[in-house]
Parts: sequence; structure tokens; C-alpha cells
Amino acid sequence: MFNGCSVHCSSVDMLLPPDEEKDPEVIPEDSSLLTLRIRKKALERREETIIVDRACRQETLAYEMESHAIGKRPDNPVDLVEEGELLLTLNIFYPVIFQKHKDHKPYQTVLVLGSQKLTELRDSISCVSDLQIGGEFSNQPDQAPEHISKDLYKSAFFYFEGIFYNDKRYPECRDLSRTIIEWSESHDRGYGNLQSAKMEDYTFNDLSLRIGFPYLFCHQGNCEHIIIITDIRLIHHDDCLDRNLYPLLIKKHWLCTRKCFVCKMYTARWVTNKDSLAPEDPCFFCDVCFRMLHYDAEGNKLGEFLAYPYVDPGIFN
Amino acid sequence: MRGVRREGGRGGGMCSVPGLQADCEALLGAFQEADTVRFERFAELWRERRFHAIFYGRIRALERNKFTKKTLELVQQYFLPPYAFQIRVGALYLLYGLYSTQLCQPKQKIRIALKDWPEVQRFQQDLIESQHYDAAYIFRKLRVARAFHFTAMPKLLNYRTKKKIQENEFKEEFKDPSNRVNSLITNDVLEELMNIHDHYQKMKCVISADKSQPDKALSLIKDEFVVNLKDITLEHQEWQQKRMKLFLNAKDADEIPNREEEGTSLASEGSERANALAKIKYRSYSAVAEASKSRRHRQVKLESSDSGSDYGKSQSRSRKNSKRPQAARNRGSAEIQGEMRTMKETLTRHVGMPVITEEETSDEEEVPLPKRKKRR
Repeated sequence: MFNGCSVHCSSVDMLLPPDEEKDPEVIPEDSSLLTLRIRKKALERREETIIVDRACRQETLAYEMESHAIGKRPDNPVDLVEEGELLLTLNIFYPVIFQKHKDHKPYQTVLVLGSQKLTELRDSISCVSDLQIGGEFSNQPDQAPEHISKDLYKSAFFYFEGIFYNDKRYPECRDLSRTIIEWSESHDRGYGNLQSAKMEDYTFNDLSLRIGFPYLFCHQGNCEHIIIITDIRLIHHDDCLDRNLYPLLIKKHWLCTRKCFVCKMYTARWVTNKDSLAPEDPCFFCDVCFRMLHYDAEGNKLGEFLAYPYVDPGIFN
Repeated sequence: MRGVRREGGRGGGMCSVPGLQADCEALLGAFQEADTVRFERFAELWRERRFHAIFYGRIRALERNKFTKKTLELVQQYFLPPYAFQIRVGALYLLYGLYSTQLCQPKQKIRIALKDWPEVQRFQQDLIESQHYDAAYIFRKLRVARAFHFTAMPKLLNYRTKKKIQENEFKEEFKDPSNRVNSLITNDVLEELMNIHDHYQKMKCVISADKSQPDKALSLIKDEFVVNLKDITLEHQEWQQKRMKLFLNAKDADEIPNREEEGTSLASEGSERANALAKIKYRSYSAVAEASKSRRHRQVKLESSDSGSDYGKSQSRSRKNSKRPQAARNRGSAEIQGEMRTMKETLTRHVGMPVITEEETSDEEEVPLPKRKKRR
């Protein structure tokens, strides 16, 4: 009755442009489409006002981040992500309270597989507070790197749906959630029955989660990151199928970095107080300038000052 | 350098894609006017507009991805209820066209949410049952091309400050005439109500002093309650049809003058249908309810596949066409409510609720008519 054959042969061809119109850069002159007329006007305006028409660094980086892993396959077939695997998109926010971030909090976006453990996500979250170095090091600046917080304070927890998932992989890990649970229970504050579990025992598939609900990641005692799950979907053939690349960072915040006061070029690594050699208090220096200014050739301290290692929030840019 | 920076700052400017909705609606509108669901006709309309060029212009990769995502997201909405069958088929073709002509590498995918997937499958089943093989083929092509992302939510969540959010408003004309009222008060529900009402009346008679008539003290609800409810629903249905016609007429009043006549003829056709429906309803009231119940669903099914199999290019056919999803939806809700209804049915049987044919039927048929005359 109905001849479906005509479609079978050429369904795409029927929609494709004639050959002379195949340059996607050029908007056809006489297009009837409103979208194109608007875009054309916008592009013309851009041509008039812009001096150099190319992608800025942020844009290049954003595109690079978003697309670098697409379609990747593992060398070892064992690491291939299987069909039917879940893919979660997580936004991890930073505990920044600067006024300029009032409307738009910086966050990073991470893709995680449903079968991955919570600890795998925990290890992939990069935060400056993990890199903080406590103490004053003006007398022995070379020893500073041995005191990174990440290695000293390993406790952390995720909070999902009434349960604290504590990282207990190392003997020195503490149950950070205990005080919160005790606080909640002590006066029956209406937070229900909060529970705690081991982070390393759970994968994302084990959890029941709500999309768009603000959850929490807490580490270093009080560095609190809001975590929002923005999407859950089935893995797709075009996705990165190399299990080892997950959790996969696809979007990163871009923060201004504090520069060295001397060279004005490199990101600050040191901050000094009561510095007889500095014009400001506090004053920031990169590693090279700091040592050149404050120590002689033998490494002896010059002048009076207190020196603290400084980790810039923009260090992950 | 300044120029470059500003450029970057405007990266998100394309987000809302100005003009796109108008273009898509124009194409779908033309497809609706063409009164067909054939892919051939759609392709003609697409080529006329050179719709493939929608992705043209100097756009850099990041923005192109964003723009393509937005485009697919916009069109995908027409592919789902509450849009009429024909619009949904048009949206399917449009999705196919946009998906295959997009310039992203790899291609951006069409998001289908978990909650919508059963609906999509039902739609596909409908296509096959009514022998719209071109549409079914296009859908299958999209599946094979792995064009879909199976997601938990229809849209990727995006957090922005409030001022930027604005609700998308879609065209009323594209919507399926079925609505909440119709899906809530179905024939079955009316019938059930009628039975219960009758039973109630009868019980009252039984416990009354005068066995032929219930006591005055027992008259706690209005006797013609069910009839009134049915009238209100019919009235609503007619009002809705009229409003649709107004929309259509207002749209091409200056284009085709004789469209008006057509409209009124359609209108009378519509109310005729309503009348016929009402008659069927009352006839079925007088019949045995249990027997008709299961069979009626099958009738609906049969009717839909019948109307699909005759490919006349006549007006009436396409009207039937656009009504199909309604039938399909009823069927769908019937499936969902199936359990409940079987429960109800068994309950009914337990109580041994009789279906009584009484003189009520005769005066019921007269009640709605004068009312309708009044409104004309």
C-alpha cells in the first residue's frame, strides 16, 4: 500500500544541502531562517568591533577540558567501561565566600562511573586546603614541602541522604562525622537518624541519590565542598570508555592568581609578615625571588621576617 | 588584546539561540498545515527552508557544541506529549535532520529521560501499528546511529542566578487537544459513576418506607449529578475545540478566506462527534457494563490501526490521525489504571452491583440538548 522504499535509499540525502552550499562557515545570503539572520548580524557586529578574532585562553581551555577524553579507549581491554554502566555528572563547589563570587560559585565538573568507589572520587578532588603547609619556615625554607596537610590529615567524609561516608582507609583517619552526629542526637534537633559508614565500602551504584540536591564533601576538618549531582545517564559509545581516566574532570574553575611582588610574573609561593625587607605586610613572593631576597648564597637568613608557605587558590588553573 | 578578551566573555551569548524556536515552529507549523506525516513532504519543507544551514556561520567548537545541544533540547520537547501526533512525527523528522546535519564532532546527542522513554516506545509502537513505516524507519535510524543519551532527567541541570531563567512557551496549536479534564473523566469513569449512582439510588429505595422511591430524608446528593458532570465535560470539550479553531482562524484569516467555512464545518463535525459519543455512552449504560469494558479498549485499538491503514489524503483522515495519540494515551492510562480497574471490577462483582435499566435514560438524553441550544 505504502511505498516506504523511497525513504530507505536516501533519507539523509533528502535533507542534505546541494553541493554549492557546503561551506559551513558561510551563511547563505538569502536565507529565510530567522536564526541565521540574527546570527549573521551578530557576526557582522563582531567583525566590526573585534581586533583579533580567535578563541581566548579560557575558551580554548574549556573546550580542551570538555573534549579531551571523548571517544578514548583503554589499551588494556580489561579497563573497558561496559555497556549499561552509569555515568554521573557531579559539580563540586569550592568553599569560596568572596564577594565577587556571590552569584556564581566556582566549581569543577567531574564525571564518575556508577561502579566506582566513593574513595576514587575523594582522591580525585583537588583542593588547595590539601596542599596547605602549616607553620613558620623562615629558618628552614627547604623543609616546608614535608608538611603538606594532605599527608598529615587524611580524614574526610561525604554526606549523602542522611549517611556520612567516612574515609577509614588509613589507621590515622578519624571519624569526622562523629561530632556532628553526637551534636544532632544530643538535643534531638530534628535531623533524624544520622548514620555513618565507611567510604571505601560503597560505590555510587550502592547509593540512592537525588539529582540537584546539595550534598557535602568535607575534608581537612572543616573544608566543606557542596556536591551536586547534575546528571545521571547510561554510558554512550562516544564517551571515554577507559575506566582509568575516571573520575574525569571536564570543567574547572579559573581563579585569579596572586603574583609575586618582585617579579610580578610567577604565582606567589611564600607570604611574609613583619618583613623588614618588604614594602607591604603581608607580602607575597615566588620561590626564586623569595630566596634571592631573604637569604645569602649560603642560605643564611637576612633580616627579620616570618615566612609562611602560601598556596594560591589558582594553582590548579 | 581587549577585543580577544571581550570575545571570550561573550562565549555564553549563544545560549538561548535567538530565533531558533521561531524557525522550528515555522517548519513544524508548515508540516502541520500540510496535513500529512510523510517524510517525503517533510524533506520538501526542510529543503525549501534550507534548514541544514541552521548550523552554519563562523562558530567555534565550544560554542557550536553548546548551540547544537540547545537546538536538540528545544526540538526534543515537541517530540513528547502534550503535542499532537502529527507534530510529534514532525519533531521526530526534525530531530533526525538536525542530528544528521549537525557539524559537531562527535555528534551531540538527543537526551531522552527515563520517564519519557515508555512514552517514546509507545509512540514507536503506534507508528508501526498504524503503518507509518517512514516515521518508524527514521526513529530506528536514530536508534541505530546511537543518537540518544538515556538520562535520568530531561535536561542537564544548570545553576544560574534567578534573573536569567525564563520559561519557554510553546505553541498552543501544536498541542494535542486532549487534556487533564478528558483524561480524568473518561467514559469508563462516567460509567462507573453512573453504576454507583444507580446502585446508591436503589439501596436508598430498599431502606425507604416506600420501596419505589427513596425517602426525602435520604436525598443527600443531587439526582442528576452524573448527567451534569457529563454535560460539563462535553461543554468543556466543545469550548476547547472552539478555542483551537479561533487560534487557527486568527492565524490564517487573511491567507485563505474559505478556511473559515472549513472551520465551521469542522466545528459541526466536532460537536457531531460529541453527540455521537454521548449517544454511545448512553446506549452502553443500558447494556451490561462488565462485558463491554474489556472489549471497548480493543475497539479503540482496532479503530486506530484502521484509520492508519487507509491512506487517503482527505481532511478527515488527517483529523483521525491527529486524534490517535489521544486514543493511545487513553490506552496508556488504561494500562496504568488497569490494576485499579480490575480491582474495582472484582469489587463491583463482589457487591453484586446490578446494572439497572430505568426510565432515567430517556429523560437524560433530553437534558443535555436544550442546554447546548442555549449556548449556540
